[in-house]
Amino acid sequence: MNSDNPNTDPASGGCPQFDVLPKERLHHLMNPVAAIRAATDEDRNIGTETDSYPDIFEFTHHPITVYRSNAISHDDNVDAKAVSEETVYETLDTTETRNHAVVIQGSVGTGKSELCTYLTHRLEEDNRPILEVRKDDDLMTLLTERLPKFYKEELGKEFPNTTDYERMREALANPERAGELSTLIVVNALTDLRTEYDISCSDVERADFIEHIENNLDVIRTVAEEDRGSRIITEQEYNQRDYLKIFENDDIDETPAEVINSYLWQGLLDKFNTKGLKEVFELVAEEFDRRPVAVFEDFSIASVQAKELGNFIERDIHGDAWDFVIAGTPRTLRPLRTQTFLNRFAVFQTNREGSNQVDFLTEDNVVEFIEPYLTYIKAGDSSVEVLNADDGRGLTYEKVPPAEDSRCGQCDVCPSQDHYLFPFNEVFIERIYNPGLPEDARSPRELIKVVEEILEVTFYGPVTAPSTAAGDLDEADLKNEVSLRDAVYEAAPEFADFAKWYGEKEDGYAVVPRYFGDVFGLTGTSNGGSEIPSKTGIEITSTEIRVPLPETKPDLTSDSLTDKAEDETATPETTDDTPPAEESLVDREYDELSADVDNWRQNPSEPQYEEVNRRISDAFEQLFNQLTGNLAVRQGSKLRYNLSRSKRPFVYADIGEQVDDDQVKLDPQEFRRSTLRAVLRYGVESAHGDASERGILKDHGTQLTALADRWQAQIQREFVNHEDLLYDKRKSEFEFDDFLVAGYALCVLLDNPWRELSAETLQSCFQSTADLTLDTTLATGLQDGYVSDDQIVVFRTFVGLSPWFEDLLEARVSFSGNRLDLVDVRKRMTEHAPYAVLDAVVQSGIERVSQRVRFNSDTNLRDLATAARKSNQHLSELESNTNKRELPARVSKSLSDVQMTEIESLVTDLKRSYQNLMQAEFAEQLTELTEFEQEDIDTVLTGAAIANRDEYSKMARIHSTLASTKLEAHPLVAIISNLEELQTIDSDTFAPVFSEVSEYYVN
Amino acid sequence: MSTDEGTVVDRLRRVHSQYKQRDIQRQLEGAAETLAELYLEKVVYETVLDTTISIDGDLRSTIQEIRSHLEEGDTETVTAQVETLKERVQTFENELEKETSEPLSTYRSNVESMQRLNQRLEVFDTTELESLRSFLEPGDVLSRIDFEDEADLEEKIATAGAVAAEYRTTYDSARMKLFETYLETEYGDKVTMMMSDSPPRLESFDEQELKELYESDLAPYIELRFG
Repeated sequence: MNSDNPNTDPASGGCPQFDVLPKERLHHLMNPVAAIRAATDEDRNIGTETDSYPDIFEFTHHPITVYRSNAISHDDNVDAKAVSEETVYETLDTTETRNHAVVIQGSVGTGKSELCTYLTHRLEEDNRPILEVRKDDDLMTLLTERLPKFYKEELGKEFPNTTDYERMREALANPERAGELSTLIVVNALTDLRTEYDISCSDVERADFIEHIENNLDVIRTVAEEDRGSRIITEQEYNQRDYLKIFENDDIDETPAEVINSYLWQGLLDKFNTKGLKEVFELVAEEFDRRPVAVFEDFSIASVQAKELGNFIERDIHGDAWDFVIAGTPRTLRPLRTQTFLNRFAVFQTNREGSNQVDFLTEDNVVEFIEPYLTYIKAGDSSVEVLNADDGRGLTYEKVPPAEDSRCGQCDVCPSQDHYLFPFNEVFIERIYNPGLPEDARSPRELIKVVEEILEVTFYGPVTAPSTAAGDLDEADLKNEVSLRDAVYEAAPEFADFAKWYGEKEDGYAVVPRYFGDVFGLTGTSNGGSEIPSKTGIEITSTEIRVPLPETKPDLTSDSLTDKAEDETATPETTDDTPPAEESLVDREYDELSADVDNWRQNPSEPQYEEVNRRISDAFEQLFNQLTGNLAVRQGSKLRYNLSRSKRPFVYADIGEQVDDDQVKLDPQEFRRSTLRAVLRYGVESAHGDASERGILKDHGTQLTALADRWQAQIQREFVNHEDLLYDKRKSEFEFDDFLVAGYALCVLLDNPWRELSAETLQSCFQSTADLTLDTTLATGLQDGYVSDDQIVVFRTFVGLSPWFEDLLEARVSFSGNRLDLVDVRKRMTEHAPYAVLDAVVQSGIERVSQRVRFNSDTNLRDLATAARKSNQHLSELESNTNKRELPARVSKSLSDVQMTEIESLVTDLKRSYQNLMQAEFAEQLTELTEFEQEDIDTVLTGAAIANRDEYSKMARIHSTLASTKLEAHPLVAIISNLEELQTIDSDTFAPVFSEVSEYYVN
Repeated sequence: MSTDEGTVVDRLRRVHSQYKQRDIQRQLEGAAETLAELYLEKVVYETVLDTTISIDGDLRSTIQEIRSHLEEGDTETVTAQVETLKERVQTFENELEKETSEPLSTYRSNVESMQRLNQRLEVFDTTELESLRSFLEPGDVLSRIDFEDEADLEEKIATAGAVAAEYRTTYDSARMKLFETYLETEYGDKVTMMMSDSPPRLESFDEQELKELYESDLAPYIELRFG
């Protein structure tokens, strides 16, 4: 191959193998889930008998080394003995008459799935029945889909009790049956619990318990929901709700919540006569004459069921015939960690403790690891000679020249000995691994992900060279530490990424084989390459492209800078046509300083780059302000961090300066040179009063925004959400968002205590354009003797702060479109009553909130917390000092089912017939009564209902006290309370004169 | 307001019914005041005029019905009867006036005759004769009786009866005194008859007797009337 005669089109990536490789096959090949790589895709003819490509899994599988461990733990002192995957497989080749298990433990992306797939392959070859359990399979899926399907496929008959499970699923999904179902589950569970434990559960507690379960039926249905697992009730719920504390004696083996969960599950299964996991495994195993194997490639069964499964696996019963391959992370495997389990079964780890690195992928063998993947792309015809591996398991290839009639044989783009790795070379691959990937991400999965991305963008996207694709990746994801001479970036930037990724450092140059330049269109004008200015120092020979590395000691004094600026005309912002004499001050200063950018990037604290440093730092700071909305702690929020004037929100990395909690590290090396030059340009323009951030944010916004986001996240973490803030440290279960929801809920309550305190009510207030204010009727009621004027001022001030709560809620607990995250708000309100949350806010906690966190010069976060705390305290006192009142019941009775039209009709009749007999005051009262509307009656009735509640929780009692206080001050209530009735005249005293006179007329 | 008072509508209904009860009582008591006065007048007229005034049966039955309903606490039905009662009271008042009209006229005429005769004979106290005349002058007869301020109807009836009886005695005494001179004359029998409350009819006199009366001292005091 030579550069004069390329036979491929550079625009298509230069390789004929990629021309015929559909993107889907690339995705299949690079899929991080080994099981998918191993799967057949009939639609795309991948892995079928007629597929011209070899089997992906067998071709790319790299033998895995694991460590035999005696514990499923994070313990660093694991007794790690390296064993091969073959050894792991052999542990399954058992003649056991009891259950057997192999546990594979490891961090994400360290080969668990790869090993499982390998073991599955081997077991399939042995004709073992294999039940594959996927990561997303929950208990319900396992019981109702996987096992029945497995059963039918292996045994050719229907699974015995599928319908029971389906009935159960349907019932759980039916809201109309929720009440009935919850009652049955709880009653069954309590009955069974009584046989084992001393429990006490009053009727009221049982009713609460049932209601709790009713509210949590969704959780049962989505059993493997993240974090919660199948815990119908969580530990937190158990601790917070007295009605769940049913055990008389705390001395039980497991946590009480887990015991209850276990019995609730049993209650549910009993209700539908369904068999539990254990029974189903037993039932299936009985049908096989070969030992079936259940492979959990990513064990995520919820804790309670996991324990049940663990009990089944480890039980020592002859006749049990299952083998289990269980792969998972230490966290998900924790429920299996019993002594019996560990004593009986082998545990293997895919990675060493504290590291995501695996032995089969290290700096030394990264090329060896990735090569099969890249070779596979060329193995669709005889370009690659595919062989069966020596040991008869899997495929390999022999590095011989491609057959002449093959695609590679017909192409002379790359030398045949290099085509296995094409479009990369070893240097490129090694740099991707180190320092490209962050150290904690140097796993097979991450490496393959990056390679796939580069290939996809190059061969199916707009980029023409893999090096450009790699250079376009975020430096946080893929870092390159090779630096080139500034002139390269300025005059031949297309060579920069090229040299940084492909170039091997050699005598002050990054040296790349020439053919890469040819195939990606960098060299030779005939195929799109551009002329290379001589000042770049790039040398091109027939075999190499040599790109100069930076001079070790740049001569960049200010004088030389001026000279240089005058000499250089090929900067990105100026053209050869622009004479220096016509340059503006901005252009001139920029030209002078831009040459220093790369050197400043290496060492921003160097005094000789002070001028560049100042402009860039000012620019960064201004952009920071712009992107954070003037240092708001969160996008869209008015809460800002008032940074000291003597500080910037960032500190450059690696310059030895202290980074405070309100600053982030800014590593100039993470920024492209082009971005830094744009920042400099912005800084210079800004210094001359002529800057617009629009352009820079449009072109370079992503990275700058990420930095701003990082700062905001840090400010929130340190100054807003920090666990030391606001709360009594002993009550650290509350989060900042709990404070927001609780504070706002209290404002809503004081705005009108005659509403249900629910997420929906908060939403309605949140969406309303009207500001919350202290309810005037309530204020009157409070003034009538219960609360001092000072306390009313506290309430009024607090409610007046509600717009700030709304601001924060909008930023933290809402969706776009002015909608609160109702699920989150409801959960917070259910789990943490506003009173309890604000009761945990303590003065010392408030004082730990920085005064720099503020909305404006008048209001800071402390003010919000102080007002909320004081209001909560006053409300608590009010509730404690208020006796249960009779009024609400009387008002309810007085206005129940009353229609205003009826009142109006009665009053009209009364006044028409008897006004002459009435006291003027009474007639006036009647007139006032008719001035109310039906809505007033309905509203008062709602208020009376809330006020009349017989509540146990402090929050609810505060609510009903406020509702009652408002009731007492309501004018309608005053009128109906004072509605005077006349004395009814008894018949024996009625009309005495008539009575006396009439005697003489009738006798 | 207490919890057993029902709704505000119930209370308004009760207030309505209470006012209605009061209104009925007010009307009944108004009618009763008139009935009391009429009864006192009846007592006075019956005594002074020595006559009997009957109470209308309809009035009596209406009052009786109202009394029964009130005893049963049935003010609703009473309401419907109040207007009837008022009409019947008015009727009774009219009848009382009508029934006393002629006896009153006779009484007044007699008293005036006695006053004129007494002017010539001077046998009776003129002041007493004048009080006889003024007592039954047109107008409110009851206002000429001094009732005790706090007196109940029974006492008023007693007072009215006593006063009326006194006037009647005076009336009878005056008549006896003025006409006893003529009783010993040849037409003494005729005078006795004429002094009675049923004076003789003209046809009971023969021509001679009429001639003697015409020529006697009594002639100016004898009145001829259509009966």
